[in-house]
Amino acid sequence: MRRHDALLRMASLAVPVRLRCEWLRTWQSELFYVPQSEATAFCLGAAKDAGSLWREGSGGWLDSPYRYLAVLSASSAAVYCAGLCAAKVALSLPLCTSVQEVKLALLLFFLLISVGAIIGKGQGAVWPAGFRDGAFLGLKLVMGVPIFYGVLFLGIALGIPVLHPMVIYVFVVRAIFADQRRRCPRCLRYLGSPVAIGSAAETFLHWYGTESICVRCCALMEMPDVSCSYWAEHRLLPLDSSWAEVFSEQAEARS
Amino acid sequence: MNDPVRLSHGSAMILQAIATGQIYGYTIMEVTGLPSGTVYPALRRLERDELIRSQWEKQSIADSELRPARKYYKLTRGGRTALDATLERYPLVRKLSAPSEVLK
Repeated sequence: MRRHDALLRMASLAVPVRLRCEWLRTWQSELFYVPQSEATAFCLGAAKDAGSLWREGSGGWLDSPYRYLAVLSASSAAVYCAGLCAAKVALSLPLCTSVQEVKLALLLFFLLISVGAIIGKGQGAVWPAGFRDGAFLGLKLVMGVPIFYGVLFLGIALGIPVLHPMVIYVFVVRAIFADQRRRCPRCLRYLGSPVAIGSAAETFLHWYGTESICVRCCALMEMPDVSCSYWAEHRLLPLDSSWAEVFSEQAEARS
Repeated sequence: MNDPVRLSHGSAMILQAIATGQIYGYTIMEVTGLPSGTVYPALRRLERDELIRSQWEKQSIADSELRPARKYYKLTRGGRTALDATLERYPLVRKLSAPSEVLK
């Protein structure tokens, strides 16, 4: 159980400080009753819970697209450097210098970007409609690739199967597309106040899905739950200035 | 007029489990069959919405039984009303086991 207790303590680092003590106490007290064979799955659930609390707590902080890119690039660089150092120390790997190796690395790079796009398509990604959100998504995907290389090098150094970097890369890409879906395509800030509208029974009569607002752009973002012939994509509906007062109230409430 | 609270199927199962006497997290997991990553966040949301209330048991009781203190959950009046309304929508949720069947 000591290993599982350590897992819980590690996961608790993601929980906001004001909730951490109560969160850890709750999970630790329950771990006592969980059979040994189920303890790892139980702790993974705790990690998922901690992650959701972290996202709730850090949503405001990562609202700025520049700050998000900075955090992603720093994490990516850290994982890549850690992997490279581990591989160099453990196996004395040389830096790739030959033209063939550079070509191979570039091929793998574009392959990973394509895999990322396919994963996004499978996840029902919201595709960029303009240059700004397209560039933002592209940068995020490019920054995600060094994480794959970093984990791959770490795996080689530590003797872990090569499949693991791919699994981690899939998680990274899914997180990137999930973040993209939560942002306004125009100002790239997080959308707020999501409201479910309609129901599945209305498919043939009216759209149903989720409507969010973008306080900065004074606009509504409408995302259908199921793509229909008359409404397949998400769309941003800019509103005129007569709605400005409502949005300023929302902005005050958010701040 | 107050709108009835609309609960998801999972939340309804958790409320029903608490109503049938599963008063701490692990037994709720066992009865509902839901994973820990679903049950505990749901319990937190239900408590935030004042449908359930939690309370730590006295440390002296836990010490006497040589185990950590448990966090017990209890339905509030609002939670009971919400559960009654939700059981009409998900009638099969009523079939969740009684405590004796689980703790055997």
